[in-house]
Amino acid sequence: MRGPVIRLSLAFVILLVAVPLAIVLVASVSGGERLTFPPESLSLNPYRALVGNDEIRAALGRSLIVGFQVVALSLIAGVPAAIALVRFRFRFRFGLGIYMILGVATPLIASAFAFLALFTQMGALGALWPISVGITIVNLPFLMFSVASSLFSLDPRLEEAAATLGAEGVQTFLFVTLPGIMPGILSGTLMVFVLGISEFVISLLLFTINIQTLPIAMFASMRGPPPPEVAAAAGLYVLAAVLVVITLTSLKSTEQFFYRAD
Amino acid sequence: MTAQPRPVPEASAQPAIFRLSGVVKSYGPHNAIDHVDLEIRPRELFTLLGPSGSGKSTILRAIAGLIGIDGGSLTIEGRDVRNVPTHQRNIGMVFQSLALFPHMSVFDNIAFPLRMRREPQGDIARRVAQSLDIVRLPKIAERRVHELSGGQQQRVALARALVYNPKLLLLDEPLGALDKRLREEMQLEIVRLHREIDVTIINVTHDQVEAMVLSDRVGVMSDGKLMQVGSGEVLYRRPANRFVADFLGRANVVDGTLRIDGAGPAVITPGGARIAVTPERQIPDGRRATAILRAEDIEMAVPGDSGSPGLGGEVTLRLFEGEAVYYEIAVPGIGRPLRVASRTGEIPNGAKVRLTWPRDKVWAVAEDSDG
Repeated sequence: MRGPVIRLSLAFVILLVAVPLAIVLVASVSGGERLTFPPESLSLNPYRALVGNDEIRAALGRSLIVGFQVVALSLIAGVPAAIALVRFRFRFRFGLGIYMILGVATPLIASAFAFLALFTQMGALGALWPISVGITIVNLPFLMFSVASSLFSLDPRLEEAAATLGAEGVQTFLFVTLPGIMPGILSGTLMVFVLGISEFVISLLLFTINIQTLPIAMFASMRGPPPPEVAAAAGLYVLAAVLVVITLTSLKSTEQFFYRAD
Repeated sequence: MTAQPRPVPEASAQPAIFRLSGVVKSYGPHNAIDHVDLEIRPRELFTLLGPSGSGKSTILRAIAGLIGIDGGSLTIEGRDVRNVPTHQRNIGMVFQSLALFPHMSVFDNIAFPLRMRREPQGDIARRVAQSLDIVRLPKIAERRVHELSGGQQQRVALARALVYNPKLLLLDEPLGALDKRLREEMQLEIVRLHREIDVTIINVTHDQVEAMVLSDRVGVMSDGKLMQVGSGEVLYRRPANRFVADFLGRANVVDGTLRIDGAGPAVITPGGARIAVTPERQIPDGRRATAILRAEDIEMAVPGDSGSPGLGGEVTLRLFEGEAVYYEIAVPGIGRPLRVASRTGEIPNGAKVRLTWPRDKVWAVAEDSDG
């Protein structure tokens, strides 16, 4: 940490990251009837307003449901796929890896358009699950990469040792492989959960008025002067993000602790 | 050509517990295991010795069933196990990385094979405790693997591989990564375990001292082939070919032509130097042959007069090694300097010396026995 240039640029980065977080957190505890920044006084009024606003509360519930659906779909599809990509040698393995990245790299609005066309055709619009499916498809690689990197750092000799000790394939997977990649599964799960509850673009194209998720409801209510409950909802998102980052970093260090390469 | 195995006399009457015949494993055009025949006797401690990439670990992995073989047969107690999956072979194996399960306690690691065999709960607790006693590590069952020292982890890995009483224990260089002191301690531990329990051990190492100290018999491998099988002493004193001679200890291997004349058999180098030898079996006169001369068998003296016997040369290198002094002596007619280990080391660098040796300490092999 020598040199004034490095110190200055670091301070600048810290500030940049802090600005949105600080504004959201401070606004979410503002005291006035209307949101102003900086607030004149502090209170928990925005959170009380959030609890009192049925529409926002229902949207929050829907976003949580979407989050859990995305997690379930991602785990079912992503964990076996990640294991196959890392452990098995098959044709187009490398191509398939690149193809998976495409899901993340495609602009969301393009994917969202495709989902809109597809689900309209199927007559599925108006339900929550198409939103969950769409979000899962674009975010699946995050879970897969997380699981794959866990699997890469898992000593393959552990599975061989299990076999010499008398474990069949299924037992080896359940008692050795799965616990070994659990840190990767957990961090991937957290990531797709947060992406699921906060997703905006796909939800915007696929929602109907009865199934607004929280980001859509916030967006809708911000066309006029922003009501305090929106600040509270944003505050919840920031708190969720902080929780996830703390969990992820501690998971990462646990993982390195147990499975450091020799 | 593979040398004739030279059996250890006292064990030779027993039938083999484990047999490889004509085993081949190829990766593309390369044979990682090249027609290997090997018999292991019950309760034997056998070591596969060779440089890295010689195929010794590949053989071990084939025995364990972790890789398939492309030819030949593999029998354990008379049963062909070629199509038996690893988990049904009932073999104990200790890996170089040890492969202890990091998310389990010591107890759970050692209990793992018993649980896989669906042993009753009470038996498991008793047998885990017993096997921790055998490796002399009582009272650590509840610890996590990462809380143990390197030596303790080694012992836990041994306990886990032995707790279900496998007939065959495979050691895939588990001592390779240890420092010298710990390695020697674990070598003694393995010898002690082998004496105390009824188990046949196949050990893999690139450390020739470990191989000779531990083993009843040693098999030397090079390039997928089993070069020679025998006791450490036989391999050291009577190597079957150049490779074995060169790999074990510090030998001088001198190529030339075998001549048998009035003064007895000798290898004559292209440069005209004459080395009196005791040749392997029957090498005919005039055949290309290699004389094998151990560094510690050569006597070195400063010549009193030019009529002294032996080869004349000049000291080009003198290295103090502690228990011995290592010399290199340039000898006219021999391409590479001869390596000599002297206990006294009183002769200085640059001195003119004469080298002598007892003829029966110098072995010769025909050149095409290199394999």
